[in-house]
Amino acid sequence: MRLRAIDIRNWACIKSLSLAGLRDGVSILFGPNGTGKSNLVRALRACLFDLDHSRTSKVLEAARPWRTQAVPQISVEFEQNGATYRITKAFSKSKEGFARLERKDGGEWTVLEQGKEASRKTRELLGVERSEAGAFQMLWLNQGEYRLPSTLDPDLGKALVALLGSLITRRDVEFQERVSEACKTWFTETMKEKKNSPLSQLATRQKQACRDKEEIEQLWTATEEMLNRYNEIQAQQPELAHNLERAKSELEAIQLESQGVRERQKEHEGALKLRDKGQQIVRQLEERLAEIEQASQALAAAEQELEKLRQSAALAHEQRARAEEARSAAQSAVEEAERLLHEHQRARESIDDRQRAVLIRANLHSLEETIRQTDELEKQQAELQAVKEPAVTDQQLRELRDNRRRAAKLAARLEAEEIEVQIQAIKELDVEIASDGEKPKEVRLDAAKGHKWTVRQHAEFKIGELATIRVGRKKEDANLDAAAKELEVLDKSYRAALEAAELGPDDPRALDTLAERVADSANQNKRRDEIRQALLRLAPQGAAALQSQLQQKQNDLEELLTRRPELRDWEGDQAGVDRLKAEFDAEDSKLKSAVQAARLRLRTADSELHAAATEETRIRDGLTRAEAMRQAAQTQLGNHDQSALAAQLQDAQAELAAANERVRATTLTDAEQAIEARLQEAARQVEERDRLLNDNRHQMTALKTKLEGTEGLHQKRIHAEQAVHDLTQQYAREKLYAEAHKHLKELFEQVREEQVGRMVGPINDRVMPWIQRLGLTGYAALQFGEQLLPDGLLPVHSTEAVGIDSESFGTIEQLSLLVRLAVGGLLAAKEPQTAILDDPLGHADFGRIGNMLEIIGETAVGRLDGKHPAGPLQIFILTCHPERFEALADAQRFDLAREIQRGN
Amino acid sequence: MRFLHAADLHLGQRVTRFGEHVNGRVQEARLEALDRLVAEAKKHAVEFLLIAGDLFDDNRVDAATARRAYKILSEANDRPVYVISGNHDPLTVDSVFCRPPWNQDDARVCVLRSAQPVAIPGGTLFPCPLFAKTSFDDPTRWIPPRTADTAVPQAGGIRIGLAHGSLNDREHLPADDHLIDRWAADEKGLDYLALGHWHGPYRAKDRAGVVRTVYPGVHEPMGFHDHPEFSIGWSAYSNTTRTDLFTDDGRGRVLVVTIERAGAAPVIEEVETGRLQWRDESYMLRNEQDLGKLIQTLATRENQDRQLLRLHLSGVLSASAIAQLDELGGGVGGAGGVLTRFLWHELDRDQLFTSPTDEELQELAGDGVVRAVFDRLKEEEKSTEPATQQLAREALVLLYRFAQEVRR
Repeated sequence: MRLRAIDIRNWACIKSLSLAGLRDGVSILFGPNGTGKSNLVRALRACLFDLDHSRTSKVLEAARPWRTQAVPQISVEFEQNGATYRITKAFSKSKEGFARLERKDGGEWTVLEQGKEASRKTRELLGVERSEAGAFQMLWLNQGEYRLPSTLDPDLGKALVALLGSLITRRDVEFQERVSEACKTWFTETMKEKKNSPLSQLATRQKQACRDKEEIEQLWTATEEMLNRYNEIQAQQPELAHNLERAKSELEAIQLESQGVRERQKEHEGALKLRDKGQQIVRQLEERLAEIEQASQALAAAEQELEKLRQSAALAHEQRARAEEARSAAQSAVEEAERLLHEHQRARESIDDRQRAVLIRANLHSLEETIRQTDELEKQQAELQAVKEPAVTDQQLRELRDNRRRAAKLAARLEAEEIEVQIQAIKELDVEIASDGEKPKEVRLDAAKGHKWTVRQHAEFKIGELATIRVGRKKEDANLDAAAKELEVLDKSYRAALEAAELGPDDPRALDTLAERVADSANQNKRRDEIRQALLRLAPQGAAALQSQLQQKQNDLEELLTRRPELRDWEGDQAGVDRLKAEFDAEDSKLKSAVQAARLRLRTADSELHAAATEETRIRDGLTRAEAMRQAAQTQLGNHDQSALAAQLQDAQAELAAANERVRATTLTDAEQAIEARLQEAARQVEERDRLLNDNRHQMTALKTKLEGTEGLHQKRIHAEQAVHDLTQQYAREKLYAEAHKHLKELFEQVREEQVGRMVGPINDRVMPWIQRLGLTGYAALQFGEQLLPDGLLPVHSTEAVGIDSESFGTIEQLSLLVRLAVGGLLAAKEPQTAILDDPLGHADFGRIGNMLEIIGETAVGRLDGKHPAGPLQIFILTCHPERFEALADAQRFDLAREIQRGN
Repeated sequence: MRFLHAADLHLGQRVTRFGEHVNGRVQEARLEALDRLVAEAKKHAVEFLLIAGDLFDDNRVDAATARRAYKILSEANDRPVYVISGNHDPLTVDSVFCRPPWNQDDARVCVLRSAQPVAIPGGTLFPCPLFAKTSFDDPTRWIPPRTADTAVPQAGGIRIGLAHGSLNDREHLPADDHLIDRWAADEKGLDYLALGHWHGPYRAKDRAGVVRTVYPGVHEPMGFHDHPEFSIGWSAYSNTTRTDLFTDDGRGRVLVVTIERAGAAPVIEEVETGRLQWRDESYMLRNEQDLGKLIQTLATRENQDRQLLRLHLSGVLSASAIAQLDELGGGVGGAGGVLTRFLWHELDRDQLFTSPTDEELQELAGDGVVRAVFDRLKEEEKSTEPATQQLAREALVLLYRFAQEVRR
């Protein structure tokens, strides 16, 4: 369709507008806001498609001029399919309302339809029922409509299909959903086999069934083998039985043969017994003869031994007698020596008493001396106790010295600080002086004589009626008063101490005297301690105890002298006693040695006597034994008849020889001896073959038992095989079923992709170069959604699409416009199309506007050559910024402000 | 003399292909057929019954089967049942006949354990039991010729041979398959040689042109006779590649034999005992009506619960007809259709193609991606690669299903 003329009366703010001679290419309809641009578009939509003349609608109500009863009337002239038509609608239910479709034939308008039919026919001519359907959905844009529609209008879809190929239908989408849902039974989203799908479960069951069958088959084979084995063993049995029978016969033959041999063996055994008996008799006789010989030899030896022992016994007897004699002599010697020693030891008591007397006397002397010393010390002690104690102690002395040192220091200070007042009186006069707070005292000053005073703080001299002179410190020093006071206290204390020590207070040696006194007192104390110590040493229990001891010793001496009066006049001392003791000890030692020697000799004699006696006893015992042996030998010899025994032996030896001969004669030959081995071998053979036969029977029995246990195995085998077969079939069926689902899904997706490619390819091929021209060079292709409209852009080096919505407002509008122009161009290849863009590119920058206008210009021309032919588009741009579109030099321009006559 | 001749009952037959329930039913059917065999014996007033080997499918059949069989046979009242072992149940140490109840001496059910003549009313029976699965020996070799008849109890009476093995009347028989002299009946002077081993009925004439050597065939079919290559799990114990010998003719039967006197030609009457029907059927479908007719036929068929059916469909059908397959039981899921009334069924629709009309397609798949996918799958369906073809067919079925669900 192409628009050629528009005439509007009483439509919204437009009282009248008449645009005629509308050309192909671009037309720019401009005017300020509120001019009526959008109402112009609404009028077009209403007239061409959306409103019948007699209808009421909100759109119409809004379009009716305010406060007037004027009838809106619109007339549009357009070309379609090579013909020119005019549709005119006066919107009113009253008789003023009408609709008329006319066609221009040879310059004249012919009415084709009137009324509602005119509206219908117009829609039919244009191929759509609404102004937002078909190509108009894409090409007639309202103000601010900068996005692509979310769903494609079916009429537009049909038109595109007619142009480009088949389309994906709702049915297809549902079909795909069903197939995909069904596929979930076996496959994941990515069409990988599910782990626990019915197919894998069947596979598991089938494998298990195969294993079960394999087990049964093995059992079956084993059973067959057992049966074969049984038959083999059974076949062996007759031969084994035959072998046994043969071995038994052989054994019987050998047993018969061995009977004769046994008899000879018995005879031989009898001979052997006889020989053994003969040998025994000979041996016994020989033994007895040997015994006799032995006994006679023993008798001779016993007699010889007896003689020797008798001689020894006589010698021993003599020796014992001598020993007894020697012992007797030794005994006498011991007794004599002991007697002498005893006598000597009695002299010892006298020596001991003398010693005692010496000791007592010495003790007495010593005690007397001690008593004397004690008396002396006690006298000295009494004297010392009479001496007077000193007046002061060492501590007090130290304090007095400190007192003086401090007093001197204070006096020196007071002296240094004191104020000297000198007065030289010219004539004698009386002065009353009051210094340092003391009571005023009167002093007479001699004339021509100087007078001095010392003042600590201040002084007042009242000189009669003449003057009172005050002398003092400008500021009194309280410390000086304190020092004077302290000095006074110190002096007082000092004087009191001296007084107590009975010394004059002004004695300059007082302190030395006190020091000497303290030293003397210390010496006396020391002496007293020494005396006390000495007394303690001499008489720890006191002097009375000493006297008592003295008395005791005197008593002891008297008792001794009473016992030994000869000592009363004896003057001997310790040396004398010691001499006597030495003499005694020498003699005593000599006597004791003699006793010792005698005793030793006695012991020697004792042991010699014992040895002699023992030897004699031993020899006598030997004699007794030898005598017994001799008697035994004699007895033994007396019991035997040697010659008779010799004769017996001879007879026995002859019998033995005969027995030996018999044994030799009856000994079995090698062959005879071998029969036993043969017999044993034959018996072993019988046993072995019997065992083999029995083994065979046992094996048969065992196999038979096992084989009998295979009852029902046939049915089990059938079941196992049946399970494998069933599951294999089920698996194959399920697999085919699953694979068919997968195949259907994959084929569907493949076909769908191919179709989408066919549909969207041309749009993509037109739009992409334009996008590049806008400077968006990072994209390789458009991505199309389910509705065959682009919903994203594929970057050059990625398969991850970028949504269009993520671009800026301006870019979204531009991309959307480019897609619309591309679709419009494709549709225009068949029939020219009109695009109405109400206030487009509102968000485009200067550079983009230039590019977009270039593209708009190109689409207005179209391009019918090339891969995807594009027809020309008649483009109307409505704007309030005509300067933006100046680049479109060839565009037809309409100033709507001038063209439109506005109503109220 | 009138007796019943049966062989190769293969009780406890090895069947492993139809799932546990159906397999159990197949095994059970063989016992039911045995019941019927005994009933027929009573009905035809035979004097005794001969079982010519392979009463059991294996010596290791379960005790329950062995007991059931014994019980059924012992209910033949006072008619003795003479049983010999075959190559599937030879008299080995683990033989089913050595276990209770078969190990007892019973006048009614006699297991003939040795090659010794047995006196029967009006003649002599020469049993030839087998002792191994294979043997190079002719089991009938021991039977003395009629000239030596003085040694047998019923000299001059009717002579019946009872053996199990392959009649040596053709080439390529395994030498260890218990081969029996083609002219054994003539050589041994037998009035009737009752054989077992081959599963199809077979009769051989003697030199005088009289039928005296007979295989009765199985008493109950053992598989799809038209397609013996379709394994149901059973296999012969013979070392042979001649599967034809062990393929039955689809029927189960026993023989009632009447012999007037020694030397007279036996009169042989077939008696049906089979229970199950093993069917292999093919249908060409051209349109919806063909399919409807087939469904009708199958729905009204008798004894569906005793039929195992392999149904092979071919042809080209429209999409609406394909939907009708659900009614048959061949649609997606395969549940609820007519075929499920059968004991077992298998639907082979490898040669059945769908060709929906444009309108059908538009309605089903629209004109979008689904339609394009449909076109691709139809292309893949034409592949010569079986796996690709199979996958495409399965995917097409799914496409129909999902498309219908979406449409609804």
